[in-house]
Amino acid sequence: MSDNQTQQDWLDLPSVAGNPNAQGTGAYLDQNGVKDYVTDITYDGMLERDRQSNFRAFAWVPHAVATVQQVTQTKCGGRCVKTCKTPGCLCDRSIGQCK
Amino acid sequence: MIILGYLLSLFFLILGGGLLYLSWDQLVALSGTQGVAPERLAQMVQIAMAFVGAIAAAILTATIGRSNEYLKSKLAQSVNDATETLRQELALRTGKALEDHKGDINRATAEFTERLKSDLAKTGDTFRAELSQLAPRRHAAYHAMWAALAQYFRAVQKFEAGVFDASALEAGEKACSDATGQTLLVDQEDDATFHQFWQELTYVCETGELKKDLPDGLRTLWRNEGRKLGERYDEVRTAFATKLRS
Repeated sequence: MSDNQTQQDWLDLPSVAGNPNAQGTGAYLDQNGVKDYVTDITYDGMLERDRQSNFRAFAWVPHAVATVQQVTQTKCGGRCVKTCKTPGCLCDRSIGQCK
Repeated sequence: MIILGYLLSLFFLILGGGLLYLSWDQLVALSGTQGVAPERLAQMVQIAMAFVGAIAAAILTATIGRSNEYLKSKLAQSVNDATETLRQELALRTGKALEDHKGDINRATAEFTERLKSDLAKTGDTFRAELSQLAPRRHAAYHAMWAALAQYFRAVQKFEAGVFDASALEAGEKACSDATGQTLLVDQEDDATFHQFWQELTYVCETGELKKDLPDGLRTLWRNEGRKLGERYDEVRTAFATKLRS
């Protein structure tokens, strides 16, 4: 079971909750802890990708929260236990670091 | 040149006429009473015809020369006249076109200047209006970020007393989450500072959740993290306050 770190607040946004086709950026850590992105994807699409690829962790960031550029260019860091607060950053729980 | 030609022609005409007369006279004298021999007469007629031909050729040459000169001068005159007319017309038209263009340019410049002035005044008004609305919103955004972080920090600070106040921590977390909606109005570096400190608070909070049931777990956590967290709290407050005063 992958670690879905998508923030509930983002899914509750009116532009997201009321629109199943809302686009966003998916950030994920593969089983080796390497981070990568999926651009322009829906939340359901990201869940499907996770089912197929079995990510270690992933988060979906709607465009309403941050653009693709913002997500992919954000510098992530700092200690974490479960979550990272900067959009697009993922907590690698195996090492307790935001990536 | 033409006159000289006429004079020469006249001279040769008189000379030729005189010679012809003398020849005829001599011919009559030599012939005596028997009359002029036919071959002598034919010779005389040939000479006379040659003379008349030469005269005709001279007159014709002079006439053609005169005609050429006349035509040449006439052509030069026509060319001069036409050139002068064209020059005058060109000068007139150029002057008129220049005046028209000058007028157009002056009119367009005046209109453009007026429009620019008006646009500038409008832009200035818009800018002032937007600034008057933006400044308070920006101030409110910084205030919201700081208030949320301070609320979350105070909730985490209770670890010092060994208290895990779940509702206060949740409220602090929610306040930070709500404040992110306003971070668009703050500088990017301050947005990053906000998220970093929020991350640090979250780390301590989530660690506290894991250790809350351990004996002295929260106090130990605070002893390890509290000092650093307090210093960061002061740094963030100073940074935001400085930005709001500038």
